[in-house]
Amino acid sequence: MTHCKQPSIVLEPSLLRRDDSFATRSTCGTSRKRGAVMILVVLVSVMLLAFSAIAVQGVLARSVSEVTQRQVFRASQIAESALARAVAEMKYGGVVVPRSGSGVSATWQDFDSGELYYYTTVDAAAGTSVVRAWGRVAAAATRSNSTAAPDAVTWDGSGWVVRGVEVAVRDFAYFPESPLFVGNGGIERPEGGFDWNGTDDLANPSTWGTVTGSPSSYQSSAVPMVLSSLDHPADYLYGGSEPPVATAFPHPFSLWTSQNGIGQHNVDAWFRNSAGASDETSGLSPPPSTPYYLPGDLASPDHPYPVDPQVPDVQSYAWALWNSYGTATGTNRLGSGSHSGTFGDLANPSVTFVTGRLRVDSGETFRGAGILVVRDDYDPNTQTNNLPSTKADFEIRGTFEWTGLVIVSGWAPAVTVDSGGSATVVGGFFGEDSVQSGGEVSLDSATIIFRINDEFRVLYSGEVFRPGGMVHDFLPRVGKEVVGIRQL
Amino acid sequence: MRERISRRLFPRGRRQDGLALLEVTMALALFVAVGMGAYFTLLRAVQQEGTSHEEHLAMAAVRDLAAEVQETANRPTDLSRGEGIGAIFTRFHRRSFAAANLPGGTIAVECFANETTVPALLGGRQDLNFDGDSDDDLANQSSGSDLRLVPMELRVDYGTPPERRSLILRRLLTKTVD
Repeated sequence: MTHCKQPSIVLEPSLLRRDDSFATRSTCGTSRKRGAVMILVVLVSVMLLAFSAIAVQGVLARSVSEVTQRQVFRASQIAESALARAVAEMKYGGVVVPRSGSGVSATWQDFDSGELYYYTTVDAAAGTSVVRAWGRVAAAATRSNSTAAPDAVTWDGSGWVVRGVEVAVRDFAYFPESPLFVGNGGIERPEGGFDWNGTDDLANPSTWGTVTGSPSSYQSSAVPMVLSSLDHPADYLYGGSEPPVATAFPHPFSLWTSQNGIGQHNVDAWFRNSAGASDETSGLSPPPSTPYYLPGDLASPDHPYPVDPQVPDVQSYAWALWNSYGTATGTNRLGSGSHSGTFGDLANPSVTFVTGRLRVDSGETFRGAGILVVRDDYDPNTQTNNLPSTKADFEIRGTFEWTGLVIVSGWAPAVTVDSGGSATVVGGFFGEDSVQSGGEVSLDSATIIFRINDEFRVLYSGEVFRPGGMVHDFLPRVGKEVVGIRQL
Repeated sequence: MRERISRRLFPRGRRQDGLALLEVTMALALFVAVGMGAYFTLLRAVQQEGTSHEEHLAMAAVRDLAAEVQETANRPTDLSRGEGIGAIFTRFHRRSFAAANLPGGTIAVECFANETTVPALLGGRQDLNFDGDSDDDLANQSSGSDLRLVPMELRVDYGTPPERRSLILRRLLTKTVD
């Protein structure tokens, strides 16, 4: 430690001249100032350093926060993607219990920069399903390799950012509201449907061309269709044989229903070309009249073939019926081939499946009540090869009479009413290609083939579908809608 | 000894009052170094604040567009009006949209409708129309209503050059209402 030299009082002139004591005093004061300044400099520097350190910490913290925010964002998006896949599998794939992976238990699957996982629980009695889906993104170099679901007690989430979401899916039945529904693309092209070409603009129906020729068409120049929306009341019930001629009735039901505009266009084109006329209803018997006939307004429910987007996928409908009644007691299960006989009546309706071809031979009668499903043998719950070994084919050479719902769907299904045949359906008719034909890139092949060469009556009856009606309790809960969602 | 050295450096009579040049230089250097450090740290913090805010906006923008796509998917299918799940490809594929509230921000959308070439990051080859196989090319106009599950990539570019940044959202999307 340096001590200041105290000024001494010495009366020597030489010393007074030099005034060293003053100089000594001055040196000591300067040292103090220098010391103070140095301390100040050090203090300020330390403060600045501390401030910088805090700022750096802040930057680092914010940086970590940003990274975490991105990870959370990605994990959430992965979870929502998992959810989309699960819902799509339920809605369109006919899968009852979707789960990630292809095994019997759900597994983590790579997706984006992370992994996804989902599983489903079904409450069949309540008609609800709950899908739980998660996305996870690595947050640390070392992390757990847990393969469990994040809601399992064995789950170890260390090293992961995980986000989950749960949705409740409500099942509901669809009540047919028109005599005849054709889904997807409508009617098969050779019978006069819509044909895509390179100049078609999907968003502009005026550019859609129809097949004007009839290559390899089996269709006659007349379409002997009889549809109840024109001549029968909605509560008409059928007891078999020739239906009586109905009195005039203001029917609020459309002739046909299509699932989308392309199907609508196809049905329209099929009628135009098959009937060989410009009027798309000229093949109908009797022809419709205003105000139930507004061909110019495609969006009108009064158009002869209005779009009903609420109609579920017919193949899903058939799958759902098969899942519910395929092995149930009282269900009729017929193999491919010629059949005749009675399968249910108004008092005792039933569900009848025909896997493959249902042919009603000339002179034979096939009648029944309830739901009739003509299907192929593909089951999306157990098969993935897209190769049904038998197609749905409904051919009537004799007499067919059915009260209730008739469904013909599967891989390239066909409905044929041969000359001399007679078909009467009171209730409703669903027809659709399952899009199982594989590899198709155009909607015109995703259709159903109609070859109507003799009388084909489809008389709508709401009586059979309404609550308490004979078919109501058989209708499958095929509609799927997300009715609740929450973060996990 | 110490005093002797001191006297040599600062001989009596020529001794300097106040701070030496060396001390001042050292102090200034220290100040400048620390000050620069503090300045750049602060600058980085401010920049990061801006970047973070932009990224937040980018996430919000891309989420908004994804919500719009979902809304389109949930509408009843009407291809002529570009509505419904089947219209997603036609309506959004390879189109660019302005990112709301993000100056200079654009969102480019790409849909992957060829089942055989869905990128691995979106799950790889998979069945998009639920026909039971995964070998369909649905990436053409006539495939419109066949798409049931749509793999999408939404890329938002934002910021001003040369600080242009991007954020990519990869999603699977389907109709959730009936």
